[in-house]
Amino acid sequence: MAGAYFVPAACLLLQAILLWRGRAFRFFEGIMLVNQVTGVVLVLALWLGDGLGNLKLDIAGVMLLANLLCGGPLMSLLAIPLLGTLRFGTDLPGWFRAHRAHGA
Amino acid sequence: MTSRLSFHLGFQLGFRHALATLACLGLCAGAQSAPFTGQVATPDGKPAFGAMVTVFDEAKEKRETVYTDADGRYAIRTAYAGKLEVRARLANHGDNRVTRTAGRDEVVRLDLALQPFADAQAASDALSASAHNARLPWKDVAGDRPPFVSQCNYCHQMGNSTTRLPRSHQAWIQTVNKMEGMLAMVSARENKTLADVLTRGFDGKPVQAIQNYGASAELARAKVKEWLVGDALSFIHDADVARDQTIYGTDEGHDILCTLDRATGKVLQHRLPDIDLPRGGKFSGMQLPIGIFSGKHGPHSMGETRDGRIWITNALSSTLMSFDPATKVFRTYPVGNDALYPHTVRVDGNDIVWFTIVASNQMGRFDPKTETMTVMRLPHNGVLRWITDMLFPTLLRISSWFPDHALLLNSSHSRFFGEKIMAFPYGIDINPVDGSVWYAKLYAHKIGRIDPKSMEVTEYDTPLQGPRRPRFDAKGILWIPAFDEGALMRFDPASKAFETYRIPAVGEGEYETPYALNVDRRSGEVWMAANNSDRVLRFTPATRTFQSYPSPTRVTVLRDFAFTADGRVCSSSSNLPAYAIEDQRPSFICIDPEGADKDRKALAQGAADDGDFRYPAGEAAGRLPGERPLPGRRR
Repeated sequence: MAGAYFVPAACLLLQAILLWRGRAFRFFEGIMLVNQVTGVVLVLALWLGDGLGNLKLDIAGVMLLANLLCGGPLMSLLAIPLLGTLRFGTDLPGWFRAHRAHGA
Repeated sequence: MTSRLSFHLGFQLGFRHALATLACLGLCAGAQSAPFTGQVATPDGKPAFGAMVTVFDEAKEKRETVYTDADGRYAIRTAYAGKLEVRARLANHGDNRVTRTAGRDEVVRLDLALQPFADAQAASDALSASAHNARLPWKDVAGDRPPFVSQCNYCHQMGNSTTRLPRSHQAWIQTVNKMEGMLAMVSARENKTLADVLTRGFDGKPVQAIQNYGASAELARAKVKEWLVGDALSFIHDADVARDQTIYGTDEGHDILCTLDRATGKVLQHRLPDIDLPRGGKFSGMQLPIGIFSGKHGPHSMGETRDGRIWITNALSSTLMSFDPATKVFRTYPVGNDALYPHTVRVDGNDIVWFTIVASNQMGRFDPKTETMTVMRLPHNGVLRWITDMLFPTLLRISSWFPDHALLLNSSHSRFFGEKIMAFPYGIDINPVDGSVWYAKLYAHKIGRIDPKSMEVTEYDTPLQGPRRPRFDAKGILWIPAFDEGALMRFDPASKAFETYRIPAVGEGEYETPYALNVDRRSGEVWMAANNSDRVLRFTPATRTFQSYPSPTRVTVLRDFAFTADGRVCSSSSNLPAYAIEDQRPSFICIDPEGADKDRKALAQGAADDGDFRYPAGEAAGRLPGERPLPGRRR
């Protein structure tokens, strides 16, 4: 069993619940931001990091673990439109605001 | 002063030369003493054709073997004296061992009768692994067995005395998991299938089989020599013959380079220099069984440049290393570039060192003159393999933070797709015609060509799966062992055409696992490993026939071949672990295809000299004095 795949799967499930219920907007957004940043640093480290010596794979390793913890590559793909909608749209932020107001 | 010095030096040199000559005469005389002659019979008194007669030295560190002819006759000269054990062995019969005290140059007449097996279990225990694993109860042989052949036979036999031990289903699951921790690539479904089949198949009950190792007149001309080396946990992965005829062996388990002087039988060990890496080197995050891969470098394969230096790929430390035989000094060159498991190394005509890097799908190029290392990526061969190429070094690094736990397997897509996630550039050779570099991808089932100037890569699909360690013949034909399918492939780079030849099995339902081969460029004959059935094969392209040479030692796994200047083909017996080998230790092994012929002729010549031994008139092959036809002898 490839048990490590449960970690990003659990994160994706959590994100789906938060989105469905319109709760914890900052947390929801933060996970996607960390996912994006770690993904970008991972790619850059593997692509351009030869000069870092052994540190290259240490950095890549930390970034890969953090990325998996925040939903992994699938989250990375989904986060691009979601973050765009959060930043430039009104419907999704409105969805979270409405539920926050309803909860309050 | 000058003349006195010259005289002194001249006297010294002359004296030394005389001493050396005397020593050589003594050595040469001693080198072929204690001859044995006789006949071997089956238990019912018939001549045993193709039986192995093995003479062990007194310390049981060396042995020599010849094969009987159609009349059951043999003759062997050995370098041994003292209380010597002689063993007769033939498939489907029990061994016969006797001890004789033999003095130097004293011909011992010794007839041997093979024994009937005491019981069915004894008969089963004498069978090769191929007979045992042929009985595994696959529901779908075509669908379920290939991962077993590819992954379970990958490093060792399955079905020998240690690997066929009965285990519970859970114990087999744990065993397969442990093998995954050593880079076996099986999916979760394959894991369960393997555990199920192995639980039911290796149940401890005796197996019945009749095996035919192909006795022939050609076999009776051959002689095999073996020298034990290392210990029960040594892993002498490859053997190579240097220009000075020293045989080198890489002990991947202990970070040792072994050398063998065939003339004296002396084995030396040279320990590789330490490196700032944990046990297991860059693979410390994998699950490393205690004692095997206990080193940090993991010396694997060797090549020699014209200056006499030996170049070693260190699989675990991802370094290339040189060894200067004159000074005994090693030098280490990191490969860098996230390279994982530098594998097989070959040296081209310009003394450039080329090597495959198996786990990161790369090719290394090192110029010893400028000490320039170049590493190039090879084609990824699909999305799954691209993901592996990109992330495997990082996952292995994460695993190394938690040594010996193989944590990366929890995130490996091999659990879904098995071996398909890696390309595995494995064997490599240089085309003698145009200097191009060719490699074989074991898991992607491709061969590839690299132009040494432009570094342009061209790949070709192989018609059979599992191309492992290929070699060129003198005309530029690439010969490739198809490990997964028990066959030999021939590829003509000019026409881009393949031909395939199935390897004959020794018994019904058995298959073969040809790991490596080499081509004797003087004769064009292909020598190859047949690791499932304890034999070596010689393929003659002109007649398209295989000649089988059964190994004197049970559990013989050979991984590379090299030729000596005097026509012997040599290798190292390196089943993993070594304690599963019949001797419980690895060995160097050399086959002289005409060695027994030489012994017969030398003994006959000696007989002519002293009037005691003489061929009877009209017998070209020569029956030795004192021999009498055995009952039931075929004439």
